[in-house]
Parts: sequence; structure tokens; C-alpha cells
Amino acid sequence: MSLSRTFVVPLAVLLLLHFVVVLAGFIAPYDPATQFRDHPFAPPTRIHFFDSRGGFHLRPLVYLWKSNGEFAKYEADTTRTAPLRFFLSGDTYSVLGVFHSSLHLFGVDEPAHVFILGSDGYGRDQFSRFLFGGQISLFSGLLAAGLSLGLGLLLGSAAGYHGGLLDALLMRTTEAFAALPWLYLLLALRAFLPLHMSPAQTFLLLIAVIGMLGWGRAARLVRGIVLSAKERNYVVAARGFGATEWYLLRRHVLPQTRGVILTQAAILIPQYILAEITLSFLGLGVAEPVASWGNMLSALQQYSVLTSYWWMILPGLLLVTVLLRYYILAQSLELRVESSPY
Amino acid sequence: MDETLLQVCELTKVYADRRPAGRTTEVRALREVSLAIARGRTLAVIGESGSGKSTLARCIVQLEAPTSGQICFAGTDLTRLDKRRLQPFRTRMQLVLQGSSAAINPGFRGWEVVAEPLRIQKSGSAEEQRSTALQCMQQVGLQADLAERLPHRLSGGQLQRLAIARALVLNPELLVLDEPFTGLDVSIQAQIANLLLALQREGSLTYLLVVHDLMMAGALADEIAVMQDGQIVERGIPAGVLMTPQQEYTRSLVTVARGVASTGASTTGSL
Amino acid sequence: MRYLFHRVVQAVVVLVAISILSFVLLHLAPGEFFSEIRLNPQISLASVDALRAQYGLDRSLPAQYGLWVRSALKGDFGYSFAYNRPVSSLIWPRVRNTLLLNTVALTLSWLFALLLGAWAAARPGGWEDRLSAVGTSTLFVVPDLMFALAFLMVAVRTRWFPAGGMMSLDMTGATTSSQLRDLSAHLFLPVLTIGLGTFPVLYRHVRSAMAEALASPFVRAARGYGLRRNQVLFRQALPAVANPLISLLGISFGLLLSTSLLVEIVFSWPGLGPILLESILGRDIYVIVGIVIVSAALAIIGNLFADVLLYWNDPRIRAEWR
Repeated sequence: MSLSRTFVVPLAVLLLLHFVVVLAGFIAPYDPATQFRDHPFAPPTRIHFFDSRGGFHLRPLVYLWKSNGEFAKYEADTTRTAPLRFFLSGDTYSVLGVFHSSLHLFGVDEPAHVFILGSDGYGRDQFSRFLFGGQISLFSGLLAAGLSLGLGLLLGSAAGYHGGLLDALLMRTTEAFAALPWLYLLLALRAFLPLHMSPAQTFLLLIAVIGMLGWGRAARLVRGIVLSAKERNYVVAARGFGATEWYLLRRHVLPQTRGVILTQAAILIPQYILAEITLSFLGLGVAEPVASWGNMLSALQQYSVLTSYWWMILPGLLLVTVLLRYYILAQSLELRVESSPY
Repeated sequence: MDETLLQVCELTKVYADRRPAGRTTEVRALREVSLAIARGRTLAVIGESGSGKSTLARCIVQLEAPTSGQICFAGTDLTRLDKRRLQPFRTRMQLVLQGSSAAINPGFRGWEVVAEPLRIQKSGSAEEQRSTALQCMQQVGLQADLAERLPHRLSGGQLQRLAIARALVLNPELLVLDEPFTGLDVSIQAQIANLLLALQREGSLTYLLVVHDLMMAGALADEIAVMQDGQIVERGIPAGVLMTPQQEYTRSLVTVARGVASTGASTTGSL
Repeated sequence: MRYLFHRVVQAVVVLVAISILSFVLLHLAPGEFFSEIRLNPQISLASVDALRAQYGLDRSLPAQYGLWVRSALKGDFGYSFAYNRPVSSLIWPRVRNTLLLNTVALTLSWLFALLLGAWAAARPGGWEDRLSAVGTSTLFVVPDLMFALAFLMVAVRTRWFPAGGMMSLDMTGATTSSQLRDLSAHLFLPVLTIGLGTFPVLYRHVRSAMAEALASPFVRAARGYGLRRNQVLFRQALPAVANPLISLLGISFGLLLSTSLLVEIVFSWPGLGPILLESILGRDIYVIVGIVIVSAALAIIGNLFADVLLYWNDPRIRAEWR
């Protein structure tokens, strides 16, 4: 049925994307920080199956570039080709910081380059940066959402269950902060942290800061559910059987928050991805040379880049497709949650 | 066996109703209510909404603490016991609530609902709990294939039976039933009534039945107590209370009930 | 009136809380801040020393806060290192520009949301409804940043619109009408970007609130009495949806401010956005605190305005607070 199509398909695509991004080192032909200073702003490399003489090659090939002296103007030199090689050795990388390797899925031998999405002003391969940047952007969204939801679940259920002062305090503060402009607050929070930190520190702190933005809404929703669930007759009945409050919470009340938590996750994750991208775009996120989709897009603020080098916007377009998946997922989850027996 | 299983003396329950503007009013839900039930007997408490019947039921099964008075179960005053010593008594009396669809967690499967008290009390292994649950389900007339069903796939009558099965699983001596017939078809009501009678015979259960349907009370009870505004205004055997009511209030209730009954509600039904 | 008072008090509490919070966070990394400031070549040591004198940077946190509050009450809101002047003189013109941008964008996006939402809700399930749903969903998914960059590219390539800024360089002596035209030209793309960013959210809520109201019994009864559809729409349905929509209005101020921050930076619109970014990168702390408070205040004032509307519109709230 179509409901599972709008649920399973986007979920599968997202899982695949995250998997690919984790294996960025393997799939990307180059290290994201490697600069090819003699090839700034190279357009996406074309891959050919037919060479200039019309011969067919099973193994695709690329042409080498030759520069005609002007900055970032290239011409394909059809006399010099390089075959596309697979499973070759290249820059070393680590997967999840644990597993080290130097095997790459594809690449070409020097002096040829294969820039699938072109290169940036420093001659860095955009495709490689996109994959590595995805690690930062996608996972900071994910982890920040995890933080937000965990916090929201904890505080919301405490407030809903115990009521009283805790509840009133929660409601008042979340209500007050809901009206405030989040991006201003985000920037301010970021401002009060040191500007120059190690990439790992920046990453974790960014997650913490971004995660602070949205826990309020989740907390309120959880609180509402807990409030209504704890009055239900089956909770009363279970108490009559001698159940402890903790049992009631665990078996009867909290399971009902599952739907809301999942829907909120599908809504918050893309918002947080955008928050990280915005911060990085403004230069307040992860610092160069670490790649993030945000700092990849920030080059576009220069008019020359914006008008002359169209491939620089490709990360943005790919970003939109990711957000679209999350959106479809969120829509279908909302429908499912509405129709659940709870 | 005319041993008194449950005796309630001068039970009073006062609620403080806190209004938002700061004014607090007192609601006297129970006013010095006294009653007694002998083992194996059925006492029906009837009255309109707000008469305090549900509050009485909840106080007796220790879901709420009375403001004053005594509740004696098999000779022991429960109101004097602390939580730990109260525990064994809690399993000896069980509450079957009204509105079974809200009394059952919609995420639990049939047998899980019935097995829950065992799980909470941690008695027996998981398989033992399940088989006991299935046994109780059988006892109340629910077929085994309903055991895996979720509540929203069960009918009102089946849900009520499930609630009864759940109450039976700990082998209680006293069942307090709060409006078990509300919301059910008349024919289903008759089935449940017959089930309750059968269970009582088999297990010499004692019932405290809280209902607002006089005819049902008359059919099931050995004694009827009429409640109004938190007090028992009349009590006696069914024939007496229903045929020759002493109090004005009882008379009015009976007249209304007779009117409903005469519109042709049938109490015979089949499964 | 008690209601309004209550709300104002709450607003003030939040603003004070934000200012205190900012100061506490500042204090948590004071070493970083002030040692970094000293290293920043753009900021003269004289400025830093002036600041030390005026704000007692070595003193305890409550004392610093007290000095800042005194400065705020005087109207200065602290001191900017980079520009060598009181923060307020730096911020106020920016506030004006941000308000201009936001007000225009707010009005237009609400206008379109109301019209399109009502139109679609009146024909639920029809092609207008479904097309609008798909269109707004698409707009919702595309981030504001992408719109901003795309429009900027259009501006630079086609030269139909100025590519940023608020005023052309040669406008200072020109007539009012041509100044206005110039302003509109500069406003167009930023407003469009902000509008496209906020419109989908507004539309969705307007449409669902309207659809719910139109399907409700009392409206159906009105139709049954033979009232025409538009009459029903405006006299029966609209007041009913006013409540949730007014609440939405209250929230939309904060939403708009956030969107405009990014748009201002991309289009170099001289509002609060660019100066905030500059201050963060330049570690101009009092400017940062000042902007945060001002932006929060703007959002809160907008919210208060919505609260007043709510009070005025809904007799139940009036009754509750008598």
C-alpha cells in the first residue's frame, strides 16, 4: 500500500545515504583536504566510453586537462587519456576513527584527475568533500536530534507524571522560548564558545548547542501524552494489582510516546542539519579544512563563483533531495501515528 | 458459610476541589457509609451518577484512601495497615472497571492483558503466566484464538470478559465490579451476568456490584443498597427494595427503571 | 487588563533572563574572550583599556552585569570595540532596516497564505487544493539558503535586480519617488526569499484551520440556511479560525527574524544580521549581547501584540481573566 511506500522508500534511501557517507573514505577518490592548486574551479570531469577516435572502451576514461593560461579555464586534451581504475590504492583514511585503509572505490592515476562534481577554488575535489561533509552535516543533525529528544522525553515525562511545580516551570519556560528567533539564539550560543577549537571539539559542541534549540516542543508533546495516559483506567487497574510507579511509567505510559518521538525525529533531524549547514556557511561551524555542506556552499557568496562555476551549487541540490526524503518520511509517520490504536 | 468477608464502617471521603481562582470547595463523596457482605454473596450498590458508588468501590480496593472510617476484610482493618502489610490483601480483592476499552491498554495483546497482574506480582515464569492467563480466558468464555488479538479487534463484550479474566487471575475472594454492564448490548449484558453467576457458583466468589441498572441489580444481588449523595438511604433484599421501596428516592429510581424495562428490552440472548 | 500586565511581566522576565544568561555564558570562557580580543589587530588596545575602565572587566560577574545594566538604562547598551562607540548607536539604524524588511515580508506572506489557504480550504480535495499542497511542500523542503543563493545568482546574471544592499550609491540627492523605487528594487529579492521561506508554514496552518472550521457543524448549518460560500467564509469561518491563526502570528515573528538574518547576510542588507556575524567573528561582545536582546525583544513584542489580539478576539479569555 502507498503508506508503506512513502515510509519504506525514503527510509531506505536515507539509510543508504548514511551508509555511503560513513564509507566516505572508501568511495571518495581523494582526501577532502588535498589541494590541487593547478586545477582550481575545474568543472565536473566527463567520463567517456568512446574515445576521440570513436573507439569503444569497456573501461571508461577521462581526458587530461590542459590549461590555456587563464585562471580556471580548461580544455580537454583529447590526446591524453587515463583509464578509470577501481579498487585502487590512494590516500589513507579511517572509518569511524577505528578502521584504517587506503583502498578506494575508483580513481585515476596522476596527472589525471577525476572530479565528479568539479573542484573548488583551492582545487579540492568537491565530490570527496561532499561525502566527508555529509558525515558532519548529516550526523550532527542526527546526534543533535537524539540529544533534543532524549532531553524532551526526560523532562516531558517528569513534568507530566509529577505535575506541580516542575510541570508549571517546564510549560512556562518552553512557552517563553518558543517565540524567540532561533537563529539569533543559535549564533549567540555559538558566539560564547571559543572560535578556534579542534574539529572534534567543535563537532560535539555544535551538536550540544543545536540540540538545545528544539527540546521544548518535544517535551511539551511528551508531557501531554504522559498527562493523559497516567489517568487512564488501565493504569489505575495496574496500580490496583500492585504495580510500582516505575512499572506503570515503563510499560503503560512511555510506550505511548513512541509515535510522537518518531515523528518529531523526522521533523527535527532535517531542521538540525540545516542549522549546522547555516552555521558552517557563516563560518561559525566546523573550521576549514574540514568539509561540511555549509562551508562548501559559502564559497557561493562571492559573485564570481556564483555566476561562473555552476557546479559549486550541486551540494545544495543534493541537500534538497535529502531534506525531501526526511519530509516524506515525516508526513507518512504523522499519518501512521494518527491512526494508531493509542 | 455466613462469614462476613467485607465490612465497611462509617466510611467518609472528602475531596478538596481546588478551583483556578483560588477558591477551594469541599466535596463530600462518601458520608459515613456502612455495609457488610457475607462470603459468597452479592451486594449491589445502586444510585445515580455522582452518588458516590464509584468512590466507594475505589476506597474499598485501596485505590483511594478514605478520609475516615474502617474497611475490614476478613476481620482485618485495612485502613490501619501500612503499604507493605497491605500487599497480600490487595490480591485477595480485585476491581473490574467500567468502560473496558479504557481499562485495557490498547497495545497489549489479549493474553498479556490477563497475565499482567501475574507479571506485576512476579509470580511464576513467563510460560506459567501465559498458561494461567489462557486458563482464565477460557473460564470466562473467551476462545484461545483471541489470545493474540489486540483490544481494538475485540468486541465490547469480549473486552469486558477480558477485564473479568484479568481480575480472576490472582484468585481473589472479593470482586468489586464498577458498572460492568455499561455500554454493552442488552443481550451481551445478559451473557456477562450469567458468567458472573457461574463464576460465583464455581469459586464461591463474593461480589460488590456497583450499577445504575436496577433490573440487573435485582437479578444478580442477594442484597441491594441504594446510595444518594454519598449516603446509603435504603437497603434490603431485592424483592423488598424494588417492589416496596421505603424511601422517596428509591421509589423514583424504580419508577424510571420500570419505564425503561417496559419498552421491550429483552434479557435473553445467545452467544 | 490583568492579562496584558501578566504578559508584559513575563516578557520582561524572559528578556532579563536572556541578558543574565548571556553574561553567565560570557563568564564561562572569559579568558578566551578577552585574550582573543587583545590578539585581534582590528581592535585597538586603547579600546580594550577603555572598556576595562568603564565595565570593570576584572571585577566579579554580578558587578559587571550591574555596570552593563546601568549602561543599558542610560541608553548605551554597552560599548563596541570595533566601532568605538556605544552599542545602541550602532544597532538602532540596523533595527530599523531589519524591521522594514521583516514587516514587508510578514505582510506579504500572511496575505498570500490567508488568500491561498482560504481558497484551497473552500475546495478541499480539488485540483487547487492538491496543487497548492504540492507547491507549498516543495517550497517547504527547499532551504532558505538555497533560495537566497539562487536569487542572488539571478540578480547578478540578469542585472534585473540589484545584487544586494539597500540603496544604490547615487541615490542620496534624488527625489523621494525615485528613492522609493530604488528601495523597492532592493527590497524585492530579499522579501521574496523570506516570503518563500515562511509562506509554506503559514499556508499549511491556515489551510488546515480553515478546512476544519468550514467542516464544522455551525458553518455547515449556515450553508444549509442558504448563505453564500464567501459570506460563510468571512463571517462564520474566519472568526472561528482567528484564534489559532493569531497564535501562529505570534510565533511567526521569531520565525521571520531567523529567516531574515540569513537573507540579510546573503544579500548584504544592512540589518541586524550582518553586524551580528561581524561582531561574532570580531569578538565584539557587548554588540552581540545587545543584538540578541534586541532581536528577542522584537520577537516578544510581536508575540505580545498577538496576545493582545487574542484577548480582544476571544471572549473566553476575557472572562477567564476578569
